[in-house]
Amino acid sequence: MSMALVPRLTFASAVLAAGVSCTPEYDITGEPVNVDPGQVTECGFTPVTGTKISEYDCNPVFSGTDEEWGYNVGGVGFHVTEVLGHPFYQMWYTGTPQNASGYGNIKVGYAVSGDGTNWSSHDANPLLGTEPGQWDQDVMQGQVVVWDPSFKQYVMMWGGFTVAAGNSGVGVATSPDGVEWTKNPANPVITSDDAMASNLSMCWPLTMNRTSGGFTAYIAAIDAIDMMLGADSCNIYTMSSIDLVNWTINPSPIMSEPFDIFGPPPTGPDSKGVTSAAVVEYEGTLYMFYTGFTEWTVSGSVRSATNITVNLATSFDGGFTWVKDPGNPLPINLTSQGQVSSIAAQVVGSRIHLWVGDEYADLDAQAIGYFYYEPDIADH
Amino acid sequence: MLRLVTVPLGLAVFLGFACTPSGGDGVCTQMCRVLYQDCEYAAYPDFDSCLNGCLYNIEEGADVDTQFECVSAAAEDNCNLFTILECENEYGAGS
Repeated sequence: MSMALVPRLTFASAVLAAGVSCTPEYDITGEPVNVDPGQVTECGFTPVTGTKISEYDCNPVFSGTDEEWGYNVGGVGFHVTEVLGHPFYQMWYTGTPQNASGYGNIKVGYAVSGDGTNWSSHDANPLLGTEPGQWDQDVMQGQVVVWDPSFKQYVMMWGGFTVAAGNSGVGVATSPDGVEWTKNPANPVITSDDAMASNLSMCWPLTMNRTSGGFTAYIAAIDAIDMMLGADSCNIYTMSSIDLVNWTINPSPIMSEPFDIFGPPPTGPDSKGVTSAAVVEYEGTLYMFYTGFTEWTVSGSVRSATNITVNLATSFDGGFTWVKDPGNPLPINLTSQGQVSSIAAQVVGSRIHLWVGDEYADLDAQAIGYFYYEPDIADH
Repeated sequence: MLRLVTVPLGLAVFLGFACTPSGGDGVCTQMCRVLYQDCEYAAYPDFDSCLNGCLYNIEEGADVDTQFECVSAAAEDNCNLFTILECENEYGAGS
């Protein structure tokens, strides 16, 4: 009897045990993951009073690498790839050797991060760069990278120029893996002459987005006729393309009032224009984070933008009309002089992650700060 | 004796089936072991968060079986994060 009962009791106990042990220890939410960045970073984030922005407590998160070719880091283009719904961060950055002087010798490297703060550079760096005799032999700047799911490739856009010839343009390159890049043989796909055909004097490219119909790029330019009358504000214009080679420029600026030679000069934190921008879509609204400036500094034949701050504009109609944020300039620049150099943005879950290039006094160098913006919350 | 031996064997077979993760659960568990436990990527605050992301990706049409093969190969290459990102681009929910 006892021998027959034992297995029955064992069976019952085992079934019970199996029922307990095989119950999943996790909850399947049926919703996309929405990780709070502060959960995965070494330091926390502190709200910036009066804004929807929080700032990483241990900024900067990137100031350079130990790579010999890229000791001095210039522009940085960011991208986010979510692996199983969790953001991993990618950046393509320009750099020059420590003792580089003059123009040229600018290369592009690639680095990745699991938390947006600790970066690993690729062994194959540098991946591409300026080349003597090419249209962009002297300067390669403002690079931005997007993922094109249709062709399963990364697309990079940058601005370049040859100083002596006074030529400037926009180049594009593609890569299946972010490492092996092929410059488009039609580069520069936009030249200063192309812009002039639309009655524009191009300042520099700002950013590019992948859209359902192809690509939309934003450039800073000055209306050529207005320029002859004294206008010197690099306003924002859009251009579109389905093949990255043939671009159609919209000759009407966005977010700027028509130039009035008899009127008062433009005012505000972007009175002289925009130096960089990032456009993202969240819940049907377009958010443009951009760096505006109020002064030009002239050095020889080159003019540079100064007194640069971070600003925000939103569009509820797909980018046709934009509304500047009443809180502009956003109080996330480090210095009162406004030495912000760049901005990048990516939507991750319910937040828009921001990377802002700024002058860090303790480093005596430009470096990248990490922030995020929460569209759905009230101001801190 | 015969009866005593047979029943535990049946139990073992039953429990084996009952507790082996099936379908996406199994692949997700294995893939998250690689990403969270083996490679220790900071992107995942915990194991469950990784699992939830994986299961959501299955709902969105991701080819997690092939992605797991790709991720495993990258993990054996010193947890090559550059490659793991391309695994997502190639087989993930947005591919």
